[in-house]
Amino acid sequence: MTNQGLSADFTVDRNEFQLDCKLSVAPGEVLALVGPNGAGKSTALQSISGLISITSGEIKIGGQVLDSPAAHCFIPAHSRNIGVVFQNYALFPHLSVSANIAFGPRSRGASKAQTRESTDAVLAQFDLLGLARKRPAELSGGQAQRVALARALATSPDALLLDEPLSALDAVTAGHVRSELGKHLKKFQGSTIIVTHNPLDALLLADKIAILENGQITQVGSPSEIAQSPRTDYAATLMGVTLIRGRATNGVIATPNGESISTDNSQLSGSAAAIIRPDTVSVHLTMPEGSPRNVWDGEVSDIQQTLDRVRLVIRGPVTLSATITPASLNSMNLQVGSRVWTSVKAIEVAGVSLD
Amino acid sequence: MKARNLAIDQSPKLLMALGFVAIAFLGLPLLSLLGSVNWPDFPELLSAPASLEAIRLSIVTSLSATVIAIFLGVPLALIMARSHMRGLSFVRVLVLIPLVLPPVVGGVALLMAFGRRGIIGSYLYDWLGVQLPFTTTGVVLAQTFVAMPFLVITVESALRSLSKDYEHAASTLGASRMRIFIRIQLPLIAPALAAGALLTWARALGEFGATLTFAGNFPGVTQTLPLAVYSTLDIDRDQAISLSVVMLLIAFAALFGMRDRFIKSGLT
Repeated sequence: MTNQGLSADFTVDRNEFQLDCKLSVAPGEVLALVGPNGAGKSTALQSISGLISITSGEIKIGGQVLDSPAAHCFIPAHSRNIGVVFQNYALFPHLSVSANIAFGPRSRGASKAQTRESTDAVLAQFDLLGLARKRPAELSGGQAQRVALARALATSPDALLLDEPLSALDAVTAGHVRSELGKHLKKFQGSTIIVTHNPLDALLLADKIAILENGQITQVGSPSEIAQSPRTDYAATLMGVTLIRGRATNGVIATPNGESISTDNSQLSGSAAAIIRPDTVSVHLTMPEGSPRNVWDGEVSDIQQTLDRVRLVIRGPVTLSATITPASLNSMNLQVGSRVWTSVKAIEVAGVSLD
Repeated sequence: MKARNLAIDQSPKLLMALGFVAIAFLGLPLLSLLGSVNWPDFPELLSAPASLEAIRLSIVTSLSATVIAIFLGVPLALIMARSHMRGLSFVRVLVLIPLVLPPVVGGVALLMAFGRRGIIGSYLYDWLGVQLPFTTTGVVLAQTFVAMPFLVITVESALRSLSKDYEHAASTLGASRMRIFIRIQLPLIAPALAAGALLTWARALGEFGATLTFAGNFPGVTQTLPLAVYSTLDIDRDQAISLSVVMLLIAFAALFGMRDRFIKSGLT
């Protein structure tokens, strides 16, 4: 890591709880910080944004130290150039959409004229011109999320932190907002951290995933690295899902390598992804009879055994993770390199629109 | 549309009867007061120089006390709602004391502090030649002492119920503490501030005990409306009654101003 981007290596002591967090996010990179409730995700965000101070270690951005107890340096939140999207958006209820967006630039000393110009540009960029005069209470969940993102980016921050950005939305809205968010994040030049407990957010939005459990980062890696060799049970359960992108027609997704996957959503069309949970994947030694859909051959490339589960990674035209019982592992006599067939019912495949 | 009460919602008859006694007990004295007014002479009674003087003095002092209470009470409410400093529970008690303390005791306490031989007052007098007791400023001081808690409590509870996320969001957008206070917190608590100010003003307007003790009862200088009512009751009953009615009307107006806050939903 050069002096660019966000780098954090710190601890925070809060009552009985200790957070030990080590992360680095390059400019333009999106990191998903994933973990169960109470793992310290919010504490990590508050530390990086400067709302709380760290106990030891260092947080730097673009080579500038933001917080370092050893160096007696603490730059408070309002002097850091870090945008934050709060879980409930925290839009100022007494200000219009455009005044919410103008708040940041005005606070950072831009003139009224400059702010008006930049606010108009942001409104246009986020397709909010029609909502400029509305109050937050008049917005739908998806619109409020968009305003919160626009407000956080209006000050051109060096880093963007998003706290559970989609958790307040229903599944359908979340899908649309997620792909929209993804487009904005692609354009953003700074470092992004998304805190989430939803593996979909991590898989679809992030370049890199950090798993945080009990105040410790247990694994950092690309989504596929973590999905294929999770280091903890939590990571295995969470990230074991397989995500396959492609183009959907009437609920059937065509993958780039020519396979087709039937999903539970017969309306699905356009750019889409299939999400397959490992416990829904059946493993067979011979080609299963009956339903011809969603059946692929492959080779067992990894076997991981925990107390009562066995996780297999099966490589083939469609690479899947599957969980089976130790008894089935024995009865099928599976080893790395074994040839198997996998099948998944269409009803178990979640089809998600990426448009 | 009129909702029909469910049978279970009706109170026992005995309690209903007692409730109506309470209504009569609260209502009858006020009706009696209105019934005793010498209406033909009412305008004349109110425009008598002594009456006008008391009305003017009451308005000036109670408004001054309200302004001081806002300028000092809002920052105190902010400390109570947001800071983690030690001794905050002691501060809380201190703020509540004037509410439960007999105002006359407040007046005595003010004398001990700001009287000419008081702990602070002696220095004010010796060094600056400033005398507070038995002056109009003294009236304002007494009213502020007694009424400020209403403002502090109302504003503090509004600030406390305000999500900290707004402040955090403003902070990450580059706003200083002061800017957060002025642009975010203050507008969001404005309704509570208005209600608190109105309560404070009404309490200051009715202040009697502390004013009498600390500032005395000098017409034109410290004789506010309540003191004028008390002083004229034996001399000129009609005038005392007409001044009382003025205060009753003001009280009604104050409640009307806060109707959304207190009357529709009940005191919260």
